[in-house]
Amino acid sequence: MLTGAFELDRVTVRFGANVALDEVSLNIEPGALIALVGPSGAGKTTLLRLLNGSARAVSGTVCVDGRDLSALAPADLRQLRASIGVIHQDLRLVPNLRVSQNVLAGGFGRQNMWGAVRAMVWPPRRDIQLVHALLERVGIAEKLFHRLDRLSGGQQQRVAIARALYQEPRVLLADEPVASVDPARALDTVALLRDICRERGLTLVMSLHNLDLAREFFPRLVGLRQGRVVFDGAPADLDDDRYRALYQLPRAEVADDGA
Amino acid sequence: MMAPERSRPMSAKAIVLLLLVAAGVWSAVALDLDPRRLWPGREGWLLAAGFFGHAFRPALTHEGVDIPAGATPLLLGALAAAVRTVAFAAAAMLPSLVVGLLLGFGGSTAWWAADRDRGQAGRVSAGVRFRATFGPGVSTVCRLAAALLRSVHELLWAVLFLAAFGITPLAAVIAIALPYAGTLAKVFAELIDEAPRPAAGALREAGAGPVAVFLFGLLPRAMPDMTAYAIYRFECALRAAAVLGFFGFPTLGYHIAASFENLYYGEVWTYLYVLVALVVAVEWWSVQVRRRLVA
Repeated sequence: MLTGAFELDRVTVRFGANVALDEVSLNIEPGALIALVGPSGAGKTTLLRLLNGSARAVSGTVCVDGRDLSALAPADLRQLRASIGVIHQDLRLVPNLRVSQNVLAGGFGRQNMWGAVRAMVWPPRRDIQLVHALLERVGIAEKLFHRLDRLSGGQQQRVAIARALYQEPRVLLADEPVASVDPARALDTVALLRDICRERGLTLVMSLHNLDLAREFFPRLVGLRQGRVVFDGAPADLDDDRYRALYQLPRAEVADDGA
Repeated sequence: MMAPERSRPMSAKAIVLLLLVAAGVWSAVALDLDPRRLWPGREGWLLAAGFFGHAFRPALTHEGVDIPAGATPLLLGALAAAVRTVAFAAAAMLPSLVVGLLLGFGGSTAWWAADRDRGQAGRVSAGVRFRATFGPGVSTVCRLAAALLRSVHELLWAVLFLAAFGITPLAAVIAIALPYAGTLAKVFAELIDEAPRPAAGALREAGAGPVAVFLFGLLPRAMPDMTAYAIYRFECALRAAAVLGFFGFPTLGYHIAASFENLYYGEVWTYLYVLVALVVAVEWWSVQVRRRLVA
């Protein structure tokens, strides 16, 4: 079983001429709680996509539990992905299926085609109980058999979290999960994800626009800027100088370079 | 600074529009179309008055003088013809839905497009390689097959099958089913390809197999539109089944043709109203289904 340890060694990712990540090295120990921070376009999403094998490095290596991702056999990669839950900002749920079906779809990674059909059409009682328990944990148990599009945006986000948890993952990756919800709900969601990962010992890597949330809920921040890691440490170590190095606008940077 | 774009005298869109209008005018002249000829003569007016006059008083019993003693009452006969029309249409829709779904799935790009994206880490599986290599070819073959099926109209198929099998219900059913399968396949393929794909991507990302991704990540998004379109095609099949009655199949069209030839316009209107009622009923059903599926 996956422990959830990642090791990135001088990883570069390029899209055409555009360098998304530039020689990034990073160690993530099992059960780590990490917030990815930095300005837009710094490479946070690419880094998350790298961790579950959705993006490919042009150079450097990404190792999961000591195994090089680029050398994984197809079946092993599928198994790896089944144990990594991803929560997207746009949720990526199926609006005209039931909440239970959306959550059960999280189990497809460890099922064959017939198992998936059974889960959608006639799910075993035990599986429904598991789904119900997860929905209870995220606070919307009463919505079990509702159609997804009858739920509010915040409730749908809970469904996305439950689907990721139904994968029985060892790692949760969250890409700006709270960018489109109101501040109070954002706080709730980040706290919920952090607490769930802590109580289950899951590795959590979450990209966040909101630095205050990152500081408050995460013991470790990784700051990206223009595809490079410019900060990696505890929130307390992110002082004013380092904050400026992370977020300053390009115009100021040009001036600095000229000095 | 970029130089301002030179203004062209006419945009491509305007040229195409102008050509289309010119083609229309030329065709009308070539076909010697003259709207003045639409003005009927005295006899034409009388016929029109007789026919449309009956629109307000459709027949409730058989018109004509010698009605055989054991003849089915008109309304009962119309109802039976309506039921047969529905039966012909439904029998034709069943095989065309099966073939349309198969060719539609095959003709869509959704089941192989994601596999051509080689941006992922790890080695490529045999299944992915197969879909990425042969997917485009299979899609093209399916779309071609669908185009062939629908390029011949159901009336032409009916002429062919009548010659081959004679007046059997099977001839009419196959005649409708063939072009409808082609049309359903084309529209299904397009609806599947237009369905939003983020959910499918998320399931694939979580290790789901391709069939599960397709069935439960992508297809549900296309399903409301596919269902509504299938019902609309059923409505078209009703009309087609009615029209095939003119060839002698025992649907509404058979009775319409017979009554028209006997100048029993009241009966014609009765049958027409039954046909309209059928179409309206299907439309009502479609609205109910859509209301359930969407929103």
